[in-house]
Amino acid sequence: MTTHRPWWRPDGFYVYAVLYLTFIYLPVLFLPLFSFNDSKYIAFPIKGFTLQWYGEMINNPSMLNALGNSVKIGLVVAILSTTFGLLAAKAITRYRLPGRGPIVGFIMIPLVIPEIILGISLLILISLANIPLSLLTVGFAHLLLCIPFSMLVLVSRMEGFDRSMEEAGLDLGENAWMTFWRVTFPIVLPGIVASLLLTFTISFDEFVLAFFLSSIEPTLPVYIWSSLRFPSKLPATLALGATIFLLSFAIVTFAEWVRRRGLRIESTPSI
Amino acid sequence: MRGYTMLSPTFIAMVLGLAMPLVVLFTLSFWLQEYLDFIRTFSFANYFEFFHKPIYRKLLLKSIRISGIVTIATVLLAYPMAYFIAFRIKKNKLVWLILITVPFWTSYLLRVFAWKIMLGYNGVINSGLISLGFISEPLAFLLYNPTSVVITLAHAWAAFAILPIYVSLEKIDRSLLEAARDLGESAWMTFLRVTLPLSLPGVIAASLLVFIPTVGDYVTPSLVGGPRGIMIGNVIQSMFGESQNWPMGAAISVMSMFTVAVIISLFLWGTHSSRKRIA
Amino acid sequence: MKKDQIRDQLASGKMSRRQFNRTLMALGASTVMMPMGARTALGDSGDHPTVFTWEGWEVPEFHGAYIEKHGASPNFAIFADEEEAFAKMRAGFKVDITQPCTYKIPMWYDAGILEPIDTNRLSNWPDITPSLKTIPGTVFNGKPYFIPTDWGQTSVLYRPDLAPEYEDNETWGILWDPKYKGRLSMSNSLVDGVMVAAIYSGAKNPFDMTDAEMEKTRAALKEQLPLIRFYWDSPTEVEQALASGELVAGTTWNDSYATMKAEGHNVKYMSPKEGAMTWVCGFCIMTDHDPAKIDKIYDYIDAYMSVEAGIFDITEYGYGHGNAKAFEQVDSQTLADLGFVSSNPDDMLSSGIFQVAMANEAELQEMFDEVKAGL
Repeated sequence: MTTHRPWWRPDGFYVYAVLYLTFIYLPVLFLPLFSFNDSKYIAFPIKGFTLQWYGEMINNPSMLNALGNSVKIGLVVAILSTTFGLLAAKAITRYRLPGRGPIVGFIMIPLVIPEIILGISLLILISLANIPLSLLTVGFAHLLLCIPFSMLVLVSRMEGFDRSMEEAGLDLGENAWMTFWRVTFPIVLPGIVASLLLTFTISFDEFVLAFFLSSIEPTLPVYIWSSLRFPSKLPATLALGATIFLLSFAIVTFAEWVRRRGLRIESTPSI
Repeated sequence: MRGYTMLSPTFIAMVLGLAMPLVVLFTLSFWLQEYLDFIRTFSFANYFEFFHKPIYRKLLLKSIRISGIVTIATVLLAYPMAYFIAFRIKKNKLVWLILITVPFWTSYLLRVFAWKIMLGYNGVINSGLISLGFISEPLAFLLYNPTSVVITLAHAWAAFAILPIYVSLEKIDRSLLEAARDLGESAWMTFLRVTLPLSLPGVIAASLLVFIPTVGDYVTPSLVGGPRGIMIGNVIQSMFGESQNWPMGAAISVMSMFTVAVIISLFLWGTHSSRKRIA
Repeated sequence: MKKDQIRDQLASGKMSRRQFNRTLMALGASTVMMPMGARTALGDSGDHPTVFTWEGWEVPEFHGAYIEKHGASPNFAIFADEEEAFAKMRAGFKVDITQPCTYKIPMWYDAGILEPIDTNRLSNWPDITPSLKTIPGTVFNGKPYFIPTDWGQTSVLYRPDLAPEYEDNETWGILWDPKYKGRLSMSNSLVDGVMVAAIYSGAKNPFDMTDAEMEKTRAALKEQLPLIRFYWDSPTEVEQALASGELVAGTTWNDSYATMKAEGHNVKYMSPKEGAMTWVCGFCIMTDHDPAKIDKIYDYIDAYMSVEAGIFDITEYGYGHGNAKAFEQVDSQTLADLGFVSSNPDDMLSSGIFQVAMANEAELQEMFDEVKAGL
């Protein structure tokens, strides 16, 4: 299907992809730029080069701690909500369930309910149960919020999924678990990846629930929100944002490089 | 029965976490607030006020309009990108998915400040236009109005539109497309008659994921919306804050949730019947 | 009806469905109400008290004496504004100490979350600026409920290079000058925003307005709306925009002046002829505090009120500190650079409009929202 086009007549999709990536990357690229700018204020013109903000970032344990909290919560929430979402999505698409509509509607409620109400009422619930606020309570709230996201993504993947393939697996004498692992899982894999990425992103950036349900351990958004009180803290926050961005970029690139190397070694014919 | 068993863990988790908030929400909405106390008699007064005072209707409609525009813009812009990853990228699709998501791991607040640099008074666009000689005074209309809210939100929710659409495009059986082409359909007709209908679940999921949360957003409008930027979420927020009127806040939330639910139902019904017609 | 009774009745089938439903509703209702009074163990970690405060006030420089005595800092939970903090505590979050500003104290007192403070337990209490000890609305039934820690001003910060004519005519009126349409900003809050409109429109007591004065304030807000670039939620936003020249003038707290001046920006902080506003924030001890930690609670407050903490507050943050002796330790040039017009805190406090609790906040907020919605 792919035809090799000369470079002066590029495929329209490639052009579009480049433009689109520019749209989502351009604003973000200003974070690294201004994190090296020798001014407390983010404004043009650029004043001069400094590493001061990175120094402040490293010497700010509470900010790094908040980052650690957010990463921890984000990873756990991404895995758990995707598991829950996968189970629900499979049940919904695989079986004819009476009452499915209301049940699905109910699971979707966290999307609709204003976060401030969810935050306050969860806090009331948690204090009634005498559970101390901690990262766990934040994680629980994020889980509620993320499950609908995960479920929607996975349902759209599994809808119209060819059931005969699973049945074939079962007919071949494999047990249900093996069938899932060898037949279903590879098919839903893109959905799982998308769900993990989305739910991590939501949890990592969520502020309202985290404010109401955290105690003395803030998450990163809670920390950044409150630190806007002092403009002089913004540059160090920028440095952190830039670091997260560049680091995740580097990790992805490195992982991909390792994978390709691995592939090359595998495919080298051994004599 | 197995279906319910499979569904139950998720359902139980949601019931545990949601039953109470819902009870609180509905009960509160029928109560009244007097200074710091709740008057616990059943009353429709908050709902009456919701319809009686123009501000709530006006802001709810405005929020729905803005979220609607954001949703359409985000999904339309995302579709070709998702299509590109699904059909034109042969290897390393995972890397592309992550590349799309990475910008959104920087804090939302920082991204908002970044947009201010882009659109601001002496921001990138204005400085660029001035140095190119197109304008002599910075354009003030780029920032602090509904347009900048739409741009900022469309950027913030980009990944939430691309990923679901990609996921549903990815599952389309490639042999179907080849069959259509073999039957002499043009590329465009193949897209309209095969690819688009089959990717509709993803488009629907993306629309819901973008539309629903943005209706209640109150952070973006207050940061880049300018003096007239408030949306329904800001009013709900102030009912739980400065106004100290939790019952009214609950009633506004119920009305806004109800409206969103009606819109979604209409949307789903519409897409469902149009899908049937295509099939 | 007790839970056990309900269960028994259900078990014996005596309870009709209707009755059960009614009970359920009552249960739901009491569920909503309970945390308002219930004491739940939350936000509790280790032997140290938990302080619920603004970001920036948790740094060790503010409580050196506490660290010296107890070997560590207390626990801190951070809020970004007092309304959210109040909502969080009303929903059941339990802390030992909070640090709101005076205009919130009467409401918090009425909500029954504040405990009277025994000032005899504070060694630094005699050094507190006297006028701060008896601010209206912080003393109830002769007992103090508030220890004044920091104070400052709300006024107009402007660019004299862009609005030179206001240098000899300092007034809140700059925020209503049509010449600067789209280059003005005001705080997105009642106390630092709507109150400015009240002062500008000539309300006799902005914090307790008559209906006629409310209408004038609404008119002033409506008149101002088209001139406003944005209402700010954090000092960062307004300072950024003043630095870039996007704004000509905006309301700020006085530390913004100190920060921007230190960065070399050409800004001036007004002493408006109508009077600048003065605010005071400070500590409250919560009724929910852990009684076992009461000694440490007082130790923490006392450490914050020390001269050393005060000097740090004044020189690093640009705020006034409750301890009058701290002022004496800072030379007058430094004070002037920070924007303190007098080295005697009483002079400044008496010249401004003191921020006290606002009557009918809900009505003011509704008015503000309606103006912003274009109604």
